[in-house]
Amino acid sequence: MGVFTKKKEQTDMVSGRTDQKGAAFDKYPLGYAIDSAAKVFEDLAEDVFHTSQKMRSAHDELADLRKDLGGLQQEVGALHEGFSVIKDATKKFDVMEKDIELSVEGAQKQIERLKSDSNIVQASFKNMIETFDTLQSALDQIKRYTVGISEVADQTDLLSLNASIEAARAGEQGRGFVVVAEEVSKLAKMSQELVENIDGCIEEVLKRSEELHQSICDSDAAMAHNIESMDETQKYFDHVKKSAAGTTNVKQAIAAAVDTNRSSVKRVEDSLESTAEIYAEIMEEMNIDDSKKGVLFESFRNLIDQAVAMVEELPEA
Amino acid sequence: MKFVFGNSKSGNVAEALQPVKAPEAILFIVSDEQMLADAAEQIEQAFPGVPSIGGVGQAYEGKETVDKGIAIIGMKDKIKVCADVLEEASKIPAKYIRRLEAAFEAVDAQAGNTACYDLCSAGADLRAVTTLSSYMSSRGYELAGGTSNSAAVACNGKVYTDACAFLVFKNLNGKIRAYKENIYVHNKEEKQAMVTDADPASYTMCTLDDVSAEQVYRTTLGIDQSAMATQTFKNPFGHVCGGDTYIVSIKEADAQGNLVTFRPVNKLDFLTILELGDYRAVVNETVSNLKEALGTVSAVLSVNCLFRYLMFSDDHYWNDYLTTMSGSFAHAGMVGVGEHYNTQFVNQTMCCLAFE
Repeated sequence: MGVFTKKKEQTDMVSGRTDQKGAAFDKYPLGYAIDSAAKVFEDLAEDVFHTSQKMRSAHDELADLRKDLGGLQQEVGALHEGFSVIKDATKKFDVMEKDIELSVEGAQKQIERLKSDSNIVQASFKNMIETFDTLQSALDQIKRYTVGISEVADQTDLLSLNASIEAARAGEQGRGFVVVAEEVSKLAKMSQELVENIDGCIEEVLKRSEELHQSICDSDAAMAHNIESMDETQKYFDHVKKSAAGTTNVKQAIAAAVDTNRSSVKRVEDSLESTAEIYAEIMEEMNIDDSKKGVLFESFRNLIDQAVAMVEELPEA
Repeated sequence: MKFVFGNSKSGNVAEALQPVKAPEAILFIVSDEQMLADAAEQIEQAFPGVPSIGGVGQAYEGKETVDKGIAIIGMKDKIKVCADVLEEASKIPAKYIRRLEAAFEAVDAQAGNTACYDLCSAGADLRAVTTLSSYMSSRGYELAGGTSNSAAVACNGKVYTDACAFLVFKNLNGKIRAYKENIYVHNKEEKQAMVTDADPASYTMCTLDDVSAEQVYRTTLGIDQSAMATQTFKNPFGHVCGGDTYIVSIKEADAQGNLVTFRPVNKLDFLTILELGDYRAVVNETVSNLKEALGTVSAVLSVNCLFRYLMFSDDHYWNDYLTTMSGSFAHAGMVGVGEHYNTQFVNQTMCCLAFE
């Protein structure tokens, strides 16, 4: 140990007091322990002061936050009312939606009916076309037979002339008149046949006309049915149109309510932003590093306990 | 700084001293406390006046580990060293503060190139570290050290019960830095709990956030009673303080639902449950960090926690660990039952002094 150190030792000795071994008591370590403990205590106090300041600051911020939250509560209340209006409007929307759904269902059924009726009409028209074709054939036939009859008539005229001529000659033996009579008989048969044929054709025409008439009646009925279906369908669509018009009203009501609420929402947003800022400031203040306190306490305790132990070792005066 | 190393598995001090030539400071470790006095005396006789401290445990130098007998780590080359001891270390080590002051004066200490390596009796850590750091931290001197697995330690040829022996180094070649290596990481949730009740005197942690400490620990990890004995290897507590984390090992749970630890905790301490990290990667990172901090590292004098030694050995990693550490610089040290780093007494950690 150097001279300086020795001197220090001497001044730190407790004059006139010795420890159990009779040596002068060295109070330097006691002073050291106390000074060191005091230094640690200062550090601890500084730490606590720092914490206390942050807590105080956080407390002030909390008061501001409370005020802000009061305002926010009011805004949220207004928002709540606005949303109730929208809710009611939305309920009406629901009712209309159901209504439209039913109408659409009905319209769909009518359209099915229309389809089926149209098929019937189509079938009838097909039938009519076939019947017309048949009629046409029958009429053509009648035409041919009519031509035949005309020919027969011409032939009969000639024969008549011949008969007159023969009759003028009859005085002689009348042979030529028999030939004439035979020819007239043939012509009569031909006429008979032609007439029979024409009758047949006319019957055919009548029959086909009847059929045609029926087809037309069927088409007529089907068309009438169609018209009825279309009328019904029209009614459903009118209903849908009316309901759609109703939803427009509801939409307008909702839009109006949303517009009203928009400004409330804006105010709530602003309020929330302000609250968030204050909250962030509070969190900043509350970001206290408390981890050193335990360590400082431990150091302080270790040093002060040693100081106390050294005091206890102090010999009595 | 350089190391000169000798050992004897049979505990023959003379044999261990043979390779140790011209040391300027000595750290010796014996495997049995009964060997301490004899070893201290013989070493003092062999190298009178050379500052020396000694304790009980395991030791290592380079890739070699000595877990039986005696290991002598000599230190030399561009260092100035002084050794002394704080007695009554578990009660009033501050009474011997002059010795610490004198030691720093003797090496002409300067902040940045002067540091202390200490070795204290089991149970004396708290007061010893508080006293050492009360002097050192305000002056910019760093501390690394550990706990001897014994009630006594040796200093300069003598044995002291309930004491803290220390070596004060001044590096004449550059800086000295204290370093702490933590192989445990914070859990993903980073949840912390405050110690709300504790008895530091009995190393007992009673409640965390007003809930039984044992209950908090077991519930968080989902483990039952039977796992408590060894769970600390995977999940020790981390004491969060000022941005750093210091490990607290768990010894056991008592019948009252308290946790007994290997290092006292205090009310207002903030603790978190740590998880074992990738220790191979961490060790590589330590080597990089030391080189980054000092540039060229000549030597590292360390203390490794016994739990780390056991865990690394179990994983067949201990030899690789020594190889990694000694790959970039000279590395020597001891296995302790507690570690010291600046102002803190810690567990399950590696603490060291790194010399430029």
